Amino acid sequence: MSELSAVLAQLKADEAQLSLSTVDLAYLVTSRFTLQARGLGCLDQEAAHELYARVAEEVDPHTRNARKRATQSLEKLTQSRIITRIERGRAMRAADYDLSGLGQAIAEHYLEVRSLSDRDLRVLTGELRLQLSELSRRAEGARTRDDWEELQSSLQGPVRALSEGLDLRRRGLDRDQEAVKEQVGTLLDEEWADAAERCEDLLRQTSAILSELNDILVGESAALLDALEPLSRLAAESEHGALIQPGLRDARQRISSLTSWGHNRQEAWTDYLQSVQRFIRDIVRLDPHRATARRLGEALLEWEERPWFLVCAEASRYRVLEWRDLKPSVPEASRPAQSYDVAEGDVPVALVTALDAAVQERLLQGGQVRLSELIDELLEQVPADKRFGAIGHIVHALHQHAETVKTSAGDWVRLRSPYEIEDQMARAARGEPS
Amino acid sequence: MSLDLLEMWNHELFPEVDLALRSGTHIHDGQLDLFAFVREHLDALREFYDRYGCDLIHSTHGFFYLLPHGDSIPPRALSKAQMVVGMGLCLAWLDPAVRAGREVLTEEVLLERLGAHLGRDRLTRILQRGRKYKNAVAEGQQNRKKLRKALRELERLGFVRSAPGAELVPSPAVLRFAELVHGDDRPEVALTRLLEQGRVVESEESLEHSDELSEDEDTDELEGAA
Repeated sequence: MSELSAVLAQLKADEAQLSLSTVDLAYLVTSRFTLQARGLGCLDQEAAHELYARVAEEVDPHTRNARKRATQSLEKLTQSRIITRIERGRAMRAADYDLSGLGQAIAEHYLEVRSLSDRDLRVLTGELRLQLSELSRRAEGARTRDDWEELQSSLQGPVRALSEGLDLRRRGLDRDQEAVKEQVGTLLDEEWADAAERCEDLLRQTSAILSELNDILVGESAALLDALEPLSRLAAESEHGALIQPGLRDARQRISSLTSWGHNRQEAWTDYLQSVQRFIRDIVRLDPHRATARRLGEALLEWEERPWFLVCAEASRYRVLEWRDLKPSVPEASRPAQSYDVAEGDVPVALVTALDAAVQERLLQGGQVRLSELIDELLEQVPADKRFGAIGHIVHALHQHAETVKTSAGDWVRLRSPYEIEDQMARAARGEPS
Repeated sequence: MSLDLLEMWNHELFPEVDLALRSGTHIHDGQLDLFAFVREHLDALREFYDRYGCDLIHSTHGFFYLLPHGDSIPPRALSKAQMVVGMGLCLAWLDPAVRAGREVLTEEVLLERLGAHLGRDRLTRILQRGRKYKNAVAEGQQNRKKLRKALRELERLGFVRSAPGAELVPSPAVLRFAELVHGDDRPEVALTRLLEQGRVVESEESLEHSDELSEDEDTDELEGAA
């Protein structure tokens, strides 16, 4: 409390007052913006006067002696401690101007809350045009690499300032549109029948602002692109001109984005405008007492008791006509099914008897007999087309005459003939007749 | 064959418009190209669809749709769920707060609005075709599912579209759901007139409505049913 009392006492003692004109406020906003965009700490005296004069002419077209007004106003702003005059050495007439903490707070308040107005935007585009003219003039005398590098860095600041200004304007317009939507909604809510004309007026006004803004952007972007031309031409002719080409490309892109943004916002707003206007035309004017909504609500409540259903077309497929294949059908190549099992009768009885005798004879020789070796040995004398059946008879004879037959599971052996068998070991039975 | 018909058939937009109309889609003035095409070739299109036993209806509210009277292009009736959701959309469309962009219409908002208007029990009865749920959570889930399904079909038919941010944007075609009450006629008189014109039917069974059958076939909808 004591601090507060002290501050109040000081204000009283100083007879502190703060009175700013619209031009003053516009200058503070533009100055803050320019300093930030160019990354400068302050404006030199000439630039500060020039900026104030331009803002004054833009904000108040009836301004006379803009330069004189700039001098007086900058003096007043300095005395009010809204801007700070920074003396350069001992020369009183040469000074730089910066915003004080108070000046910055005021400018930031307007930048944040209100965003830039159309006029602020015009100031920015106007300033950029002047900067481009100045750069073109300097480019005529640019000879060295350093000259062009300096031009490149000088170009970046104002272009960035314009781009950021546009962004602020965009945000401001979006906020304005939301506010208009809110007002339209409230009007329609509260004064349905009387709201129509007021809504249309409101929408017309906003639409006019957008249209004007679009015109500004189209006009200004054309002027800015024209202003870039001399600089581009000089850069193309100069040995070191390539150094500024990235800056020129960036400038062209940012300027082009002015127009496209204006078109986009205008289209979006036009959609909204049409939607609300159609609503007003179709619903508000035809149904001034909101009877349709009320009756539809009632109909929905009663619908279950007496339902009705809308009729639509059902999705149906087109009938697709196909070409019939008129070529004569070709019979499929085939042969009678053939069994892989050979009947016993296919092996002649004489051969069966011979195989049986051969197996017995082999067993009589003693020792162990390996089935695969036995088959390979006996099949040498058997015709190829009888071998499959013959193998079966050999196996059968072996099992009949041998004492034991052992099978080792999984021991498959490829024979000399194109067959495989699961191999077995056999031993001759004792007392086998000779 | 008339030159208008030839010109219409040769137009690059004809296949898209034809398929849309045949499948029951309502073409409204938000679909700039299609709407302009139909308006420009209205007589030729009417002559063309007349051969299929269909009327091409031009609503003064800014939309077109095909109304079949025969079997060449079969008619279908909307389902119960689609009707109730459609009427809910129409009520929202008529609401200044929604139209002025002050209130964003989403599935959840629509479900809440319908629940508040009809009462939860009645809404469930209509959406679930008489099924009852012991569990309020399961009931809510199933109602949401039914609503979503009905919205999908209504979107296909051009009554509503989904916008970014899950917003539902009804088209002027939702005014078809208010045909019964939009005008000076009493609802009973208006209903008789619409029935005679073949724009509505009184019984959903009187026309095929494959969606309704498929809804009943949803096995997962038995979850939580009493």
